[in-house]
Amino acid sequence: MEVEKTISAYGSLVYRVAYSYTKNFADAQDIAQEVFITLAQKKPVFPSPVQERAWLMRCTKNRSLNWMRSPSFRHEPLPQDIPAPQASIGDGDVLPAVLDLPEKLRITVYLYYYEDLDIKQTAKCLGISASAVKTRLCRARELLRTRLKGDYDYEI
Amino acid sequence: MKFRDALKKDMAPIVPNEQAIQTAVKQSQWSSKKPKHKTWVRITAVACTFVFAIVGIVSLSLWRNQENYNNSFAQMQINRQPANAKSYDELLQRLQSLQLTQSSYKKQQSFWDMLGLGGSKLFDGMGPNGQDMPLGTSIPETVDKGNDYSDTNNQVQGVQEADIVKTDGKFIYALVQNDLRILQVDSGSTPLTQVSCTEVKESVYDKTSQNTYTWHVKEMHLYGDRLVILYNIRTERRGNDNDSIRYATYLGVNRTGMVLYDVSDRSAPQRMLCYSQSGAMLSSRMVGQYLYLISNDSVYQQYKEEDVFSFVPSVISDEKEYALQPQDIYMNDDAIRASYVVLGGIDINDGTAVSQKAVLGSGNTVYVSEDSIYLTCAAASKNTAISASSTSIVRVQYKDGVLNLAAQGSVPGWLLNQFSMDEYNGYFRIVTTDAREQMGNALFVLDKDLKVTGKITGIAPDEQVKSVRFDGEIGYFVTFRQTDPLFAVNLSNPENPVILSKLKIPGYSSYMQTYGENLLLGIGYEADEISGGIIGVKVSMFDTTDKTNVTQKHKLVLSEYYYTAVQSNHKGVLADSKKGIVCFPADNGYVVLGYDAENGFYRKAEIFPDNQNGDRWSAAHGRIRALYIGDNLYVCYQGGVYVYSINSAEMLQWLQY
Repeated sequence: MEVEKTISAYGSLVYRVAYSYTKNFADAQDIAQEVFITLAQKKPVFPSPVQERAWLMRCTKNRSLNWMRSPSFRHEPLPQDIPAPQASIGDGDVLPAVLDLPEKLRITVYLYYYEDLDIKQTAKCLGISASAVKTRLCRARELLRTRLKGDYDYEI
Repeated sequence: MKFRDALKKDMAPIVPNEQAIQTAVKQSQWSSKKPKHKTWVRITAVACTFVFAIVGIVSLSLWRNQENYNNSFAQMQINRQPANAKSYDELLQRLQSLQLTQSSYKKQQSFWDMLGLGGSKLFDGMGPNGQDMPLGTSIPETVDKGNDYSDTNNQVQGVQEADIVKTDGKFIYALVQNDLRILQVDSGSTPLTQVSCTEVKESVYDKTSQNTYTWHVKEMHLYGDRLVILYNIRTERRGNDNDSIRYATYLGVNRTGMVLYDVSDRSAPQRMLCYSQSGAMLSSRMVGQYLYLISNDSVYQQYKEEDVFSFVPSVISDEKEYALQPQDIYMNDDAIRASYVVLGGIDINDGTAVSQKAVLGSGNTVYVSEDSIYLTCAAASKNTAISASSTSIVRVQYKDGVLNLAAQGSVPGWLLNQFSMDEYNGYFRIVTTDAREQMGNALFVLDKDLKVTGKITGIAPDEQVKSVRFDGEIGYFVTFRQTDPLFAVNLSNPENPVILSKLKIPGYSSYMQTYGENLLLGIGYEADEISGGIIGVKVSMFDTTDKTNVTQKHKLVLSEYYYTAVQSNHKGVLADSKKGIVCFPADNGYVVLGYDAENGFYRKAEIFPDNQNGDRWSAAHGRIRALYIGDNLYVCYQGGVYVYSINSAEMLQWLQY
């Protein structure tokens, strides 16, 4: 089955993008499901895997934003002190810092640093200009530098 | 510590429960059918209540559409004898209806796009209008027999394709921007000296329209002491802005011309005469002393019925302009655009325009065999605009400059480039991809009348053709999604083509060429086996000794390169088994590889032309060419020429213009 292949190839990608928006395992899982359901129903045709990946990221981004705008999210915010990331992830302080970034910067940092996309590809995935990506990364680095104690190399 | 690594380490435990997602997706696929059905029933019910009759008509037409959709292939096989226009009035009528359908077709496209069914896929492989998409046939090598220098990488032996660099073994002719440079080849310590530099460009100011017409030099052909330089004329509008709407559509390329030079004195080329025809240059070929010039001429809404020149293509020869006669214009009923493909046959010896023909409907990809020109364009069968993804083929026979329409036909799907087509023993073969109808890829064999005699359909559904090469009775093509199946097809029986073998390897080839005996060279990309993500540029050598078991003999991955333009620009490739070299453009540079049967590929030289002349994109835009004369390799770029010794891979000279 085509969708199964796509899930095994891109499942974690979609899941992590959703996670970087929702900061929540359960919701990320729900969004990933929705994204692949959309894929299975629409069966869009992609000229190349690159486009497929970009489509999935755009779709995940839109689903996540919809989810954040949804009444359930706005009216019943999850408790801020939910122990999920720190408790289950170990002692790294980088992820919590990234998750604390504003949503726009968070997803940009995720795509650029975790998915190893370059500026252009990141811009394409997010549907913004390359210079906007650069600005976002710059602002994110400023925030991360004040928040993180360790001296990290941001590879500018 | 790198922030990147720290983030990756922290995020490592975040993994989805893939099984849960898959289960959910499966369930939703079952349940999703229900609501869809309900909506349909509801809409039908409501419609029935209101206008019963309309529903009747709608469902009838829907049914007919469906019927047509299924039978579209059968329909395409109905013999349609193409007809000439009988008069300019008939032509006008057809143009008007085309302009109407053209706009509705556009609407339809965006409708499909909205549903996510159309999309860029629709135009994949067509290439932008007016761009000559190269590739295809059975000539194994770029070399002329007996001569120790390379020819342009022509698809068909004996059918010359135009290029920006040409050689006759003694001189190298290069078009650099708007200049013609002639370089003399010596065997001594300086292998190359410039003999002359002639400006070809010309600007003409036209008082009545207040426009300046400028030549844009494109490519050239070489025939003995005659050099044919092809150019487009673009208008640069000056004057007042009230005219802007009227003239706006006339901006851009609108004429294709040829200027003939006598180069018997290489140090002073003499301009002889000019010829031009309507439309933007699509392609050109030269066979013997005859040049065939093919251009795409769009008819804009603003034509005037009393002015023939505004809706009929014209030719300027001997400084006289005349419009094509109605009987020279063929009405292609598959046409979906109000435009012509204009063909001109010119005798280079005395410069006479032997014949001109036009075919209604635009042309995208051109393939020229030894006696026929095949024009293809996207088409919509009548009543079945829904299956617009078919390719219309028009065969124009040529001999000694005389052109005659021979046949018309169509096949489902789109083609990739000129290498998707081939003619062998009187049969025309074509490989297409049909994305929208999920038919996968298909290979058709057509006879002289362009009726399908044999076919293989449904090859590798969900995958796309990435490159094709025909070698006589065998056809090779590559499809790609995550891995690259290389198919070998036996075409010796035109009624029953058979897939002989299928080789799956990661990545794909964008360009293929036979290389010596029983070897097939592929230039393309290496991809990750699971995700299909591109890792870098790759060259492969396939062993085709046993056609039923094609194997990959050698490969070399150049992971520092990400892109190679070989798919759209075969003229940048030089691969020669005699000299054991494989050269092609990659990223902004040019790669020269050596190949021998035992050790496989090895790197000889990598060239990154200097950027001093503002020539940064020369490679990306496909303007680097390599050729050899004797034991030297000449890499010509827009700023000069690098001369290498083929054997030692040592740079002998760097000539800068």
